[in-house]
Amino acid sequence: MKKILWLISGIVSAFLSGMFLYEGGKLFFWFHDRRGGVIVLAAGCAVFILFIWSMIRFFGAGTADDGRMADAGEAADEKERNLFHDVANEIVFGCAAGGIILYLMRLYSTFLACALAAGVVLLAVAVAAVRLAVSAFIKSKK
Amino acid sequence: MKIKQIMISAAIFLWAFAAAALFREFVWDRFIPPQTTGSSVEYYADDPEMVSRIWFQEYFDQLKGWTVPYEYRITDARINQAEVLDDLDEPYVQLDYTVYTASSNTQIVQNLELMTTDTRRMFTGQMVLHFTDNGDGTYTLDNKLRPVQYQIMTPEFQEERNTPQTQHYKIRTDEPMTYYIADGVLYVTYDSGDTLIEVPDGYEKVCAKSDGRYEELLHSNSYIVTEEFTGFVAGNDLLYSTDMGQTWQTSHIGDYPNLANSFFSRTDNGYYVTFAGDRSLGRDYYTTFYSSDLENWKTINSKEGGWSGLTCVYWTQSGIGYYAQGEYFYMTPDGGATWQEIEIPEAVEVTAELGFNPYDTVERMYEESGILYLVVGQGDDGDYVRDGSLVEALYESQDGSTFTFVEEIADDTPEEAG
Repeated sequence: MKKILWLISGIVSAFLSGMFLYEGGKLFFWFHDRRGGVIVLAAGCAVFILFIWSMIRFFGAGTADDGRMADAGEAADEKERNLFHDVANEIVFGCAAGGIILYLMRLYSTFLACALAAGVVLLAVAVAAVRLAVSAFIKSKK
Repeated sequence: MKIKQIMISAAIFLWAFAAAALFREFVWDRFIPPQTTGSSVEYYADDPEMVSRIWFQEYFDQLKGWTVPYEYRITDARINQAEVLDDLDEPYVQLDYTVYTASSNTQIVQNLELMTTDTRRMFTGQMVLHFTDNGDGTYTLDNKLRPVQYQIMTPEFQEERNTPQTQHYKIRTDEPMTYYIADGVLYVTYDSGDTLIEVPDGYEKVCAKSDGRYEELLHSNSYIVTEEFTGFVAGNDLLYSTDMGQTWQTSHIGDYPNLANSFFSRTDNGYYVTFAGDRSLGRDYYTTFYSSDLENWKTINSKEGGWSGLTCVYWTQSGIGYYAQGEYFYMTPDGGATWQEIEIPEAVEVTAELGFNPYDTVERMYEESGILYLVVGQGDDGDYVRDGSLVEALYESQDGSTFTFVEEIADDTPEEAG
């Protein structure tokens, strides 16, 4: 089930990033609108990160739930891996959301669009950092 | 990730990218630019300004949204000023407006007839609209003009256009021996303007045109001002002086309707005058006359097909003739018996820098210290400037048949006088 979700996420993000990259490339190279092109290309790149991550998870997902009885060491490793995945998920989805916001807001104000996109990415990073910190705190208490 | 997985991922992305690109192009391709003239608006009152405002809003609303390609897409359009013009029988409305586009590109500027501003993606525009009342509460836009097109239609402009205008020029300070025109008098000077010698009736004879105008900017190769000989083509005559303007004589060349540019050269053996003596199907046909004694004139053979649209005619001291029709350049070494076309090489550095060759019209020629110089300009549509002034290409030739690019020089047309 997880694999399918990651595949859908990959296809959707590939389509979105492809659209942004194509549109940005057309603005940059065809219309010579350098600034507009770079902003849309940046949005495309941000969403492209989600595509890469989705593909990694699609091909990797499921290995943790293969039904084997895990010993204590393996269970700890699994926890570490899950933590890493959760943190990466937050950052990657934050990037993609930032890219989409950058694309949607680009026509209003370049500064506002960049600030909002950066804010979303930073928020995602902050959430990930909090998750790491909480995990480290719990680990130290054990 | 293994290679196979990377390849599958790349294939998925390429497929999605292609699908996205096709989707965007399909949507944009379906866009049809909204109709201007012929489009109708609903309004139940006889107020051309309001009708124009409603039409404006409806028109520009059709250019918003993701389905509009970037060469048309706008984000907003606002009317800055609306004015009802009543110079003509029917009221027209001029709208001055600002358009905010989705992308800053030249295509949208052309498509929507906009003017650039200092602010990115913000453009201004002007349009003059005329609507026909259909009598059923709708108005149809039957004329959309630029303000200048409207002005041309006004009676004031038509009257002004029908009144011949003469352009005045300041004296050339870089030429010690030249002509000068002030207050309807033609002068010559041999000392950079310190002393001006009047040419009797020169203004009327040399500058008068058939449309009532006076051409005060004489073609560089249409007159000679030197201490030994001074001469101007004056209609069908050559007006000349051999004593630095103290006395003037007239040599009658023939009876032709002098219609366009005139050219005059002096060689070691005689004098060559070229002017358009015939016009057919909108083209002027030139004839060259030669005289060795300024009394008897004979015609010189033209190349096959005759000469039309001449921009420069020059005969060197040694008697070699050069004729230019814009960028086409011909030479006769034997007084018109044979003609050969000369290739003017491109100014390679300029072409490489600009991506095109702006120089396409031979404008004038002269000799200095035994070297023949050729100046090639940009024609009437030239707009390539350096240091704030139009430039021309200077060529030189040692042998009279091979020309090489020397440098770019500033256009030496005298400044206009008020």
